[in-house]
Amino acid sequence: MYAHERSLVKELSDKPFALVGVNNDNLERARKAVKENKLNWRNFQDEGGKSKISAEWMISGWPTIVVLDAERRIHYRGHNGERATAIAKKLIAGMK
Amino acid sequence: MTSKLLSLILPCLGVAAAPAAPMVPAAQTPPADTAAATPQSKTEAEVLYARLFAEYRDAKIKMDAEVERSSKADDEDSAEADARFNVLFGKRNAAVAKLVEGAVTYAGTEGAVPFLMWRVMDRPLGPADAAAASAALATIQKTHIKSPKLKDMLPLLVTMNSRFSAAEVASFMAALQEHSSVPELKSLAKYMLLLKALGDEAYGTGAYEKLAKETLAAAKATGEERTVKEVERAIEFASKFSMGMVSPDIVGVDLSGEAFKLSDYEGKVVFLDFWGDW
Repeated sequence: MYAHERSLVKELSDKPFALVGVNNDNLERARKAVKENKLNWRNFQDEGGKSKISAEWMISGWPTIVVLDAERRIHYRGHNGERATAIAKKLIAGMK
Repeated sequence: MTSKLLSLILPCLGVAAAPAAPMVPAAQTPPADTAAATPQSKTEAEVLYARLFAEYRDAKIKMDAEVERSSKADDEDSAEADARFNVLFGKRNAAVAKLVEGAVTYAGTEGAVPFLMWRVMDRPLGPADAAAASAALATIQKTHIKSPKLKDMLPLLVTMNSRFSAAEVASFMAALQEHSSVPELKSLAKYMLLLKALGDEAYGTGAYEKLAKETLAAAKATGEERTVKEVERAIEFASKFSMGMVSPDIVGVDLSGEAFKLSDYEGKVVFLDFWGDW
């Protein structure tokens, strides 16, 4: 999953696109994961254990991907990274 | 840990599980003994099932223990560990074969039901097991749908969505609702069908409201607080996260402690990934 997302960030670096993470680990573990896997996107801390963001978004399984358009409307929510990517690219293509 | 062990258990691990993740099915215990313990009521089939299931459970416990032990042993001889595992795996498979044979021996009679239910409820170790589970489910639906023994499947029903296709689940639920002799199964099946329909309905319409009321009523009819909470949560989810709705903002800090917001990215398509490294 990390490899796919890393290359997606690079691929769409000149497009109106952002990959943003919400990480549910404790801070130390999250930082370690970012460093070890060379993750190239920004992550919200969701403080493993407190998980306020995940609770508000009613996340019940990890990983969960949500694709939002330029006005923050929801176009996908699920666990299929490929499908999410296809939808994101379609949205970008439709923007002018 | 040996590669053979890894190749066996990795398919079972599936998606990484979080504390409350419905994607990983809850472990279910197949019926240990479905007969009421009165002197006359144990049939030959029930006695056989009880014995064979106990053999299977014993073999499985030993096999799982070996996997557990071996995964922690760093410096053991790989060939030796493989050999040890193979013996236990062989015993597990032999026990499975006997249970499978039981369903065949009593095919078409009530005696087959516990064997078929075991097949449906036992967690598959691979595609062959999964296919056999589907076949057993189909047999139950076709030949044994009225059996009172199916009451033992109650705990399984809520996990069926993660183990069987949507079509299989819908078909089985409809059959239970129409034909089952067990009231609890009928009402749970009715509820699950309505919950599925509710998930497919567009939030905010009159049709949605009507269906929500029906589903809540069906949930209450099951007598389980859990199912009522499940519908309430489903409705809450639909009210906030249906396709096309504007998502909540996120106001937080990044891993360096710097503040930022989801709304900072307005004007861009956002791929928002909720993840963890555990």
